[in-house]
Amino acid sequence: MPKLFDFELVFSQIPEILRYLPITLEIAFISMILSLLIGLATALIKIKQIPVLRRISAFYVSFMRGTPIIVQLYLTFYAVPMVLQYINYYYGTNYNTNSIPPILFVLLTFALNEGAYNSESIRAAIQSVDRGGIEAGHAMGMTTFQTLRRIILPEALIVALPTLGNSLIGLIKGTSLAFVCSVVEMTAAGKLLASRNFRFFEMYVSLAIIYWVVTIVLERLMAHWEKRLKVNERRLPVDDPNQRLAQEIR
Amino acid sequence: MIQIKGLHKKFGKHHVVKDVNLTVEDGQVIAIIGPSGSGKSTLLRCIDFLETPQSGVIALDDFTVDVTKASKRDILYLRRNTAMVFQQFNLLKYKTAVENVMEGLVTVQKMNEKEARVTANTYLDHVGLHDRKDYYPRELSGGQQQRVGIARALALNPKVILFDEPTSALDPEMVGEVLAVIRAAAKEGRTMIIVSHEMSFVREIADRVVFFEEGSIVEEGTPEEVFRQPKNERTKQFLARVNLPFNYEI
Repeated sequence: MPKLFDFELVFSQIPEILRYLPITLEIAFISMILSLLIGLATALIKIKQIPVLRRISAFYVSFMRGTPIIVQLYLTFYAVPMVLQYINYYYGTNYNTNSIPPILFVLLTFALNEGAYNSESIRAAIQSVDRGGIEAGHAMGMTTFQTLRRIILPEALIVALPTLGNSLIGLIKGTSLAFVCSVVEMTAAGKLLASRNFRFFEMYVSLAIIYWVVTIVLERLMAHWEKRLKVNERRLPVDDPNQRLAQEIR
Repeated sequence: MIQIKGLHKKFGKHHVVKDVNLTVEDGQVIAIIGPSGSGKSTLLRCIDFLETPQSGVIALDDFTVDVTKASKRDILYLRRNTAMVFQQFNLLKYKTAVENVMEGLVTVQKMNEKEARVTANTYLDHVGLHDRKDYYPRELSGGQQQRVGIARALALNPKVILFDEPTSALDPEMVGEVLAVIRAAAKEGRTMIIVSHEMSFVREIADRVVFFEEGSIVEEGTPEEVFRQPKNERTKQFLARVNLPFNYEI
């Protein structure tokens, strides 16, 4: 009987695919950071009810949540060069539409898409921050920005972290769609490599293992970070049995 | 010296503070008493713009603000030169006692971290919390939290400290320790405005007592005048109802 499943290959080819892991992580982390900034801006616009921007951001969130990411990737992939060509035509500039590194399309799309989702978790987290602390900040004479940076964001981060961690994990797996913009990340590289020996199934098994391990590592890191941020829940007060009991029950 | 002239505050149609005039000399302790919902707290919160008054003038020494034209800088000036002690303490829950006291020193007064820590430690010693400096608010009793709140206000070294019912949220057995700390601050010559329901305490430490009802000052005088020979009918009723145990002359 021919060898239907090459068990060894699953593991022996992992190092070869791992060479592309940095690209996957790069796409995920950079677009995550951008998406946090976009999400924060969108959340603040919604909280502060800023007139015109509010409508625009609501439209943006609705569009990003209402269309599949693969469609969005194609849209940016074709739209950005088209916009550049128009700019060239009307302003007499000479941007080369072919010189745009494809990874930029991917980063832009993932950042915008993830930003829309993150904006809602960030908004909820910000609105969950204790009013009293914010008021104390104002009473001390902190500026709006200082209150945001010193009081609101640190507390909101703790609330938002689990959700944001989820969205980062989602993003890592989402990067496997980057091939539609001709970016060769892990999955795309795997497919190319597998076309040498037509062992596609083994390749997908290897990929599954890698993604899974990366996700588990990230989960652990996030959980550790969350625990570190929740400093005030870490310690068991030794001198108050009631509080200690309350904490142990929790 | 702090001077309030013709202050008005409305919440919608509800006129909460009506044409209030109040002057507090340096080193004076002014107590505001009166029934719940009479606008005492709102008046206090208008002084540092935690509520925005509709009209009036607030003057801090030679800095005068017409509240209808108050700029962001004016508001920050008022807030940076006053401090507030809140009914619900309003400590930052992810910061330790000492970090709570340091926050305003570092962020607002731009003191360097080391210096701020020394100052904060001094004030925590001052309110009798030398062994609780590194505790988080949830590890402290209500009385201890409020003492941190008072240390935070004292450390900022403001021109006037505003106490918004500092003992109303405390268990009866913790009221004493907080009042003792306020009493000590008064003896040091701090300028203070205290909204309180602790009549015997008010009578003991206030230089002047203001009886507040339905948004206006009904009666004003020394504690002896107001408590022993109230002129206004409403003041008499109120004081009879709170039933001071020692409403007689020794």
